[in-house]
Amino acid sequence: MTSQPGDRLNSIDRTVTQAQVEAYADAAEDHNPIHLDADFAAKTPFGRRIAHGMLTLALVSEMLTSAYPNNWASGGRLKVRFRAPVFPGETVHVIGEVKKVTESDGVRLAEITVGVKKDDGEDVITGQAFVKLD
Amino acid sequence: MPLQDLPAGHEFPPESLIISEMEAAAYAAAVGDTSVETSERVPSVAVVAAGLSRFIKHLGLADGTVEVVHASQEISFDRPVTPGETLEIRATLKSNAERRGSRFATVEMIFVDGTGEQVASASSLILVNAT
Repeated sequence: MTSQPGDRLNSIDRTVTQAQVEAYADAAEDHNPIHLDADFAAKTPFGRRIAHGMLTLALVSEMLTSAYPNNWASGGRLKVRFRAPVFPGETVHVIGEVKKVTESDGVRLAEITVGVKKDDGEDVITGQAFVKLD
Repeated sequence: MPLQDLPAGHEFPPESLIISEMEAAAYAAAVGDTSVETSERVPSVAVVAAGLSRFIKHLGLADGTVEVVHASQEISFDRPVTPGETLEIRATLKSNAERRGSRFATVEMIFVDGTGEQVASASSLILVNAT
């Protein structure tokens, strides 16, 4: 288990496609046209369709599930900000690093800095996750 | 009722949420998540995503008449959710204010199981702009 300050979680690199966005829209029942309708999206400040924020956030949860198979789903906490949209066709890199480990009442809790970045380093998601280690 | 007419503190009627094994698998396939065996467990974020989609729809924000941007998200997981399990979503509009021409709204959702135990909670800040 990744449990020491400075430990890095196994990163995920993934290219988000429009087909994936459409599959996600159906699966999550989120058919907001900013994700699906090119004409609508062209009139927004983004200028084109964007992936759902929750789709990108799912990659962060996937990374945490892989690192902490039981403790992420039982007692895990996450606090993130969405900094920039992901456009279909872009590749994102999901990263996590244990920032510190605290202990309270015999329970060790890891604070993990999590993030999603684009190829050029632009932040898509920044935030923290908290996972019990015991 | 439109979002702009709802006061902070508004409680939405409780809603039932069931994510079937097939829906859990479709969600995992869509996000490319192979970290969870979806016959046994719903991917953690899928529960929150399903709840949020519902309230965006209820608030009339999914019809293309406004631009909705997800600004921030907080989530706590108490335990894994099993496919087919019946949950109840208890949602509250925690904040709702207009600033510089944009509307900022925070929806808090608590997901409870059939025994009334909390399985997850989430707080979503969304930004709504007229198109």
